[in-house]
Amino acid sequence: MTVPPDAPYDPNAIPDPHRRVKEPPMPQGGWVTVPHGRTQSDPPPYEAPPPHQGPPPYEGPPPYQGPPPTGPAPAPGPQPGPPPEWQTQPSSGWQPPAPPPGTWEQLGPPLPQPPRSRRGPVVAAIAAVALIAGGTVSYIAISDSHSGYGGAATPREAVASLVSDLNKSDLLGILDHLPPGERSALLDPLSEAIDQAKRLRVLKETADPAAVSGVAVTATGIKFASSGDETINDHVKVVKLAGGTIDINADLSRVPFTEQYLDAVFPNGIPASASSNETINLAKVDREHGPVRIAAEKVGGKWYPSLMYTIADNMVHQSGDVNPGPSDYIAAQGAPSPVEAVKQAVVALENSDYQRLIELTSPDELRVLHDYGGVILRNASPAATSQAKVKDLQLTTHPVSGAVRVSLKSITVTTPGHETTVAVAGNCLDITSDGNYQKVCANEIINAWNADPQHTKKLTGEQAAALSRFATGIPQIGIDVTATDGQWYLSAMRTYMDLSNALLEPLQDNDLLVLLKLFTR
Amino acid sequence: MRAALVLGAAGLVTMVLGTFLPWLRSGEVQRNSYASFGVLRRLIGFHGAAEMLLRGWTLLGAVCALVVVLAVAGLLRVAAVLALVVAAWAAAVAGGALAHQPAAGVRVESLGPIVTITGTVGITAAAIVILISRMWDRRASRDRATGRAV
Repeated sequence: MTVPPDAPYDPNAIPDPHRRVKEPPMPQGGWVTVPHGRTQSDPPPYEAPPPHQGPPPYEGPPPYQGPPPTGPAPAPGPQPGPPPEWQTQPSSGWQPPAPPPGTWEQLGPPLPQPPRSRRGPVVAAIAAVALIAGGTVSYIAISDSHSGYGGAATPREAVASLVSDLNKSDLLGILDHLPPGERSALLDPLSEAIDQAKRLRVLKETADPAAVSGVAVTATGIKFASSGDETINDHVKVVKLAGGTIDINADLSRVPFTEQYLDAVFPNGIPASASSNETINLAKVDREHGPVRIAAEKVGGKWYPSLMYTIADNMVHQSGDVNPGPSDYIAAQGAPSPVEAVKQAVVALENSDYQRLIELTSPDELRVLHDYGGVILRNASPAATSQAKVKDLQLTTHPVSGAVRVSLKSITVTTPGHETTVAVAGNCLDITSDGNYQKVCANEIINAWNADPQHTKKLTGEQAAALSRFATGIPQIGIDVTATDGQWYLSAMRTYMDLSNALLEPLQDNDLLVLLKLFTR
Repeated sequence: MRAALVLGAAGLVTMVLGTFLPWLRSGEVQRNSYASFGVLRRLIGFHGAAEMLLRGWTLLGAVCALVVVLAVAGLLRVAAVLALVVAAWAAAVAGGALAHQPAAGVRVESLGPIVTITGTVGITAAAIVILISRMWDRRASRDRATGRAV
């Protein structure tokens, strides 16, 4: 039988003793050694054929040599060699005929089984362990990332959780207890204010920040009133505390102020009155004034202790008023744009239309105003009729953290027989009053200060520069407006908190300290 | 090579362990990296580069598992490259946390970030050794195949 010289290795082929087989290059990793050990159940030892020298070197696909020879297929003989240890090279040319099915096992003694690699199961085991470990780690990580206060099942649980974080002085935990709307309105400006204070050298950069507030509150033995919680409406309940103590330790010296700031504000040192320690006995307060009331708000099916509802509830009860009912609710009704929201608010103020003002207030941030709307309107004193009318109002907008700030561009106000227009022109104000034009810039203020005979000391260059920069912040003041469900609402809390940020933003280095010294001495 | 694999595995374990150690202290409460980023995201949110780095932080363990699977499957080069990316990611987050100034009663605890960075150093060293070793092996194999002296 003739075998093409470059044909793939056929384990059934009868070796040609005269044919010289070239030693192929050793594959990477070496040849696999076939074990020679046999078990007792193995068939009789197989008389080894001539030692196999390895496959012929692969030299590319053989040229096509026509179809395989016809005629009877060669009878399969006994297995003459070891099982193949390499893959047959694919070839588009002649292919050895496949052995008849079922005959392989019947012919000759069975071949020694190739060793089963133990690498596969080990790899699979390691991979499985790694995947399980990785999945577990990620599961715990995701659980931890949601491990903060995500609301409680009941108002009491919400308040108890807040007290727990209060006792641990965990500021993050305490803030995490606020309802999401209040949290967002308070924290964005607060975070910016702290950054400003550090930038302007009011707070130390490296101070222990645990004492930034200077107030430590500890609650012990808190007991809830046996009368149960008071329901205000379907999403607000009041939890009453009737026992336990609250220690409030306020110490201004613990606030990490810079030496320069303390020197500017307290040139004679921090007064003793700047620290206080007070213990509130809740049982005594309950006996004398009724229980301490903490309101909780339901948001997304969970209860959160609410700062705003607590303030509103306590104001209502201290004034002897009754809880708001469903008829007191004033629905939110925003404006189609930030500018329009502010313009409508100005018109409402002009007309003393407090209901419209409440309608324009953000329901996310101050839902409490909508719930207590009727109570507020009943208690609002009628405003004195103003003769001033806004004839024209031009506004400008720019984005701030989490909101849009609407600032003044120009306003024209008329009173009987008079008309005044104030327009912001860069860092100056153009004021036209009854046809008289005047430009007011920081320089004019500085010159007026220096010309005033009551000011014995002229402004230094440093003071003049700080004052000039401070003046540039005034036009940046504005009203923050936020969007809810496509409508724009006034964000009162955010506006208040952002006021100082707008004024302080243009100041540099120790400008604020210079101004504090100027106005406190 | 085996030493590099052991170093890399130890680095991965150390890095993941570091993320569960304290990263943030608020009052008497310490939080690991996941709890810290979770509460900070709810309170102040993240923006820009920080948001990009922290978006998939909770999946760090799963990505590390993928590195191990690739390595044991024999795809060492791919595993090494992925390990380098993970190490750079974790080092950037931990370094950023350490560089952050304390604010408002909250300060960074250095234990967690430092252990995490230690892990990333081990991973980086191991990955570089593996990549260089594989490059040499490949070159030697090619030289052998072409008959060139190594």
